[in-house]
Amino acid sequence: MRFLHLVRPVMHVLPEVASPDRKIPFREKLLWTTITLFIFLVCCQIPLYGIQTSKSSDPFYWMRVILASNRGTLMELGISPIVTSGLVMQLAAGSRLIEVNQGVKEDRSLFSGAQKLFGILITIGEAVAYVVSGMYGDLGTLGAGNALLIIVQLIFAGLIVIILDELLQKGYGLGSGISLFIATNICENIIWKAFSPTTINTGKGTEFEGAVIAFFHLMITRNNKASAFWEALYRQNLPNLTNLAATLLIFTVVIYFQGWRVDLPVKYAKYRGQQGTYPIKLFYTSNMPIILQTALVSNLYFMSQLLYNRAPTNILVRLLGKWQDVEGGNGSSIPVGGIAYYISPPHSLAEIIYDPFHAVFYLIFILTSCALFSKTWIEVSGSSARDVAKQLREQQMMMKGQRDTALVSVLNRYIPTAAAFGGMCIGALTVIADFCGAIGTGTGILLAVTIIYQYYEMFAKEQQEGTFAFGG
Amino acid sequence: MSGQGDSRAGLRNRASGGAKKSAAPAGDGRGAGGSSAGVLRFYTDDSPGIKVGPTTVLIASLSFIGCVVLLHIWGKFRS
Repeated sequence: MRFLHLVRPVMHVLPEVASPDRKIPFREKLLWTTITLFIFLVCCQIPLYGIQTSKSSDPFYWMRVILASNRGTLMELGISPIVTSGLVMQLAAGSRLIEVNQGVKEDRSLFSGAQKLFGILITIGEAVAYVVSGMYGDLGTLGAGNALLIIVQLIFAGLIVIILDELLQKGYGLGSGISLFIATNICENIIWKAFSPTTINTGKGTEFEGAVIAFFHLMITRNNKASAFWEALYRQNLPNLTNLAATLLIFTVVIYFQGWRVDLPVKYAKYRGQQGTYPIKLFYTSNMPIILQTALVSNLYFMSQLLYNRAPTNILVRLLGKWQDVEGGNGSSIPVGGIAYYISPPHSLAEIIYDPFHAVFYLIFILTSCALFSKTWIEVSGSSARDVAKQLREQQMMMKGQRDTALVSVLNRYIPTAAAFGGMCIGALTVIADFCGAIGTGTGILLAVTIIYQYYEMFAKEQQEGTFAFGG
Repeated sequence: MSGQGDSRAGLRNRASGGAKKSAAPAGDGRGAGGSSAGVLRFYTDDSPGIKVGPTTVLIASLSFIGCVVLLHIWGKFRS
């Protein structure tokens, strides 16, 4: 009895978007993508019905941005159920814990069904856990009826996210719901931090939250222009112009590096004289290393925080991480000791000078973990040298000036190096972005840029295919 | 993962530009579509289940949003 076969009976009741029976034109794809995005954004704004409070301690605050979730709204869970189920299942399949033969159609469909089922189960689990743990107020004051209503809302919203993602992936839209939602959430965050018209009362009078608006406001209202300019550039408590500049800089640098690649010349075995190139990108695994790395770190934080709240005196728990509440940070806490502290980014230059070992350890941790995840990922996802060689052979392509058997070894020279080095570069960029104080955290920016770049490539491809179809 | 998708597309375009008979890309489920956020691309094949069209999905999600909004309005009146 294989694990996958256990899923079969349940699969017939899972909702499933029917594949399109015709080729969806580009304009219609754009339309469906926009509609999906619209539904997502509306869900991000509607508060859950029946909650008492959403101000209690938020153990997931560092993951909010990359999981496209919004506190106290229908999108409370965001895409975390799908991402978690996807990662767990793919890693399980890659490490042969679950046997899946990707060449067999039935296996593939059972596998995607299992992923969806697992996603739904995680949604239910998370919804119940959120309500029971008292994130929306004490269960007693909430009442059984309201608690049940909140759970139902969360589960239904989770189902909608899953089905919208499937809708896009099945070919009605562009890309996948997950990447669309992450990118939108991060971009929204950046735009908001740059142009937010919210005013905040600081000690020195009212200031605007948005960096650009605050700059103009300060320049106009203050008498001392130099100090106003300085304030707009470097104010600590609110987003400032240097943050914005760092964000733009990271955007440009990542886009520039996306173009780095090695072109391997290939030719067709059948048609003589037909040549092409097989590009191996520097960012071979794209944003996967940071997604995996964040998933690892956030799970570790969550466990460490949970344990520390239960048993703050236990020596093993303290070794894993010591936590301290931030003043005025609405219930969020930061690691101040243990492993959790050493893998968290240093917050300022002063902190680096004060504890250089922390900074060095953090840097080494990020670089090695990204490189390792990247190397593991090519094996797991089926984009290692062996798999690529198989694909090229299926397409009757050969490396120029090489025997057919040498294909793997030639690819092996480039792919693992590109994966490991690319992963390290992504890790380094994340650290730099975090250090410059880029808006929306380094991880967030990196994810957003890589996703936007993928969309740009997709648009270019669609357009090209469109013209080819026109020309006959 | 995204790397293969793109590169394959590049090859395909080049090939169809030159020779009229372009090599058919191997259509295995994975990596066949364009690029997306790395892995997170799983529902490429049809599997059994309750089939719904895109319009149904749209109506279902809009009515869900409507229900929650109604709940809020009802809650306002009740208190």
